[in-house]
Amino acid sequence: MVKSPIQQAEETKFSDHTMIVPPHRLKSVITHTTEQGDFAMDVVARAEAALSEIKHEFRSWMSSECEALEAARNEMRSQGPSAEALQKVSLAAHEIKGHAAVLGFPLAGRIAAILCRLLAYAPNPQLVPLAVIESHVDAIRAVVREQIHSINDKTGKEIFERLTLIVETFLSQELGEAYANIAGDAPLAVQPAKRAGGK
Amino acid sequence: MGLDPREGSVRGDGIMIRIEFHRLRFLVVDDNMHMRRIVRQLLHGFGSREIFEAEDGAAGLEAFNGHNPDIVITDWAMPILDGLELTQMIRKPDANANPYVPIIMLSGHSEKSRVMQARDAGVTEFLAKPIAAKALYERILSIVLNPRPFIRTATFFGPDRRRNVNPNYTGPERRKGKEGGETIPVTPLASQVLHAGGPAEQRPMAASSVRRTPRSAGATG
Repeated sequence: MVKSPIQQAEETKFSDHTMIVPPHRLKSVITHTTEQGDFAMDVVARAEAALSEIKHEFRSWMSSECEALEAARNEMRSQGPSAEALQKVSLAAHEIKGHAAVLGFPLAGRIAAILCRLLAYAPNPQLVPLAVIESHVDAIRAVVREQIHSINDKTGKEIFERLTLIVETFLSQELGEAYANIAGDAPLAVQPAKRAGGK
Repeated sequence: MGLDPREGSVRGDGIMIRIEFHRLRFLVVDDNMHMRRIVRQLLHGFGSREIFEAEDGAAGLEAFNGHNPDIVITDWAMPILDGLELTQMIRKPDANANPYVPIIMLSGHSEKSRVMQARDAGVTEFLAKPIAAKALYERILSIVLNPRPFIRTATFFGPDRRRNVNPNYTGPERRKGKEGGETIPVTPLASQVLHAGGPAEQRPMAASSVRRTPRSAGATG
């Protein structure tokens, strides 16, 4: 009878923890060869080539990601910026942040990332001006519609930098001194703005 | 020169290490069908043939129990049961057939706090989106070639969060807490292996978690 991984694991007990060596189940997939060549690079290149085979589908995938973001934005418009509506916008933007670069739209991904940052770090996301959120959604849509694939596209870059400036200024004003904790992760270095009223 | 996955798996004695991807069985859990397709395509490119998919954490858990995959790749943000909860469910000792299965968290949440949270839930490797073939390959290579022991404490069960072992460290054992801390001297055998290296399968526990590769951008600790 074959033992389960739990039964095969070797345990060593210490005063307040146990160290367990599970069976090395994957050892059998390791092989040794004297063949010459860069196997790792071959494998990676094959995977990249495999991904290229479905590249023709990326544009429609990106469009559907945008539609999901727009649907979330429209719901927020009609229902107001409830926590639930903002969560949907944030999730849709998060998807684009994660996928856009692979789908050939890195700039859209970067814009989505600053929208995610805005909604994640704003002390009260419901106080984020809707126009700022809408600007991000429209910018992502425009980048995809205009087929902007390069992060160095002049117009696209300018839009990204302006949105970043708006977001970082807003966050620095809202977070005050706490902004220093997240400033290092900002996509662009922004001089924190002073709060109105001299705070 | 030692085994170094980041340098094409070449060893100094002219021996190449290869992974037979066609024998690895993957489970990909992601609520986004485009992402699942991308990951599947990359894994196919590596040579894998058996790739199971699930569109949320609950379906992922069911697929995990049904298919017993070798490696799980999961998204974080998902409906019903997210990737973190899925990891915690899989890592429940005695609840599943293989609580030691390697788990790669593939997420757009790349903040350090999130990576730490994933690590503390029992994730084996963290991979930030957007995904790249090379980064995914490196994580899989690390899992196959450098399996880490598991640690069980009152509050944690998962792969050893310590990626590196400092052979010169003989101070207090912080895992035991400030009050219960004790000094663990390096044993002669461990010292010998740590300094001299040697086949992983012959090394004692502490040494088997030594990574000779640079620290990856993934889970740390």
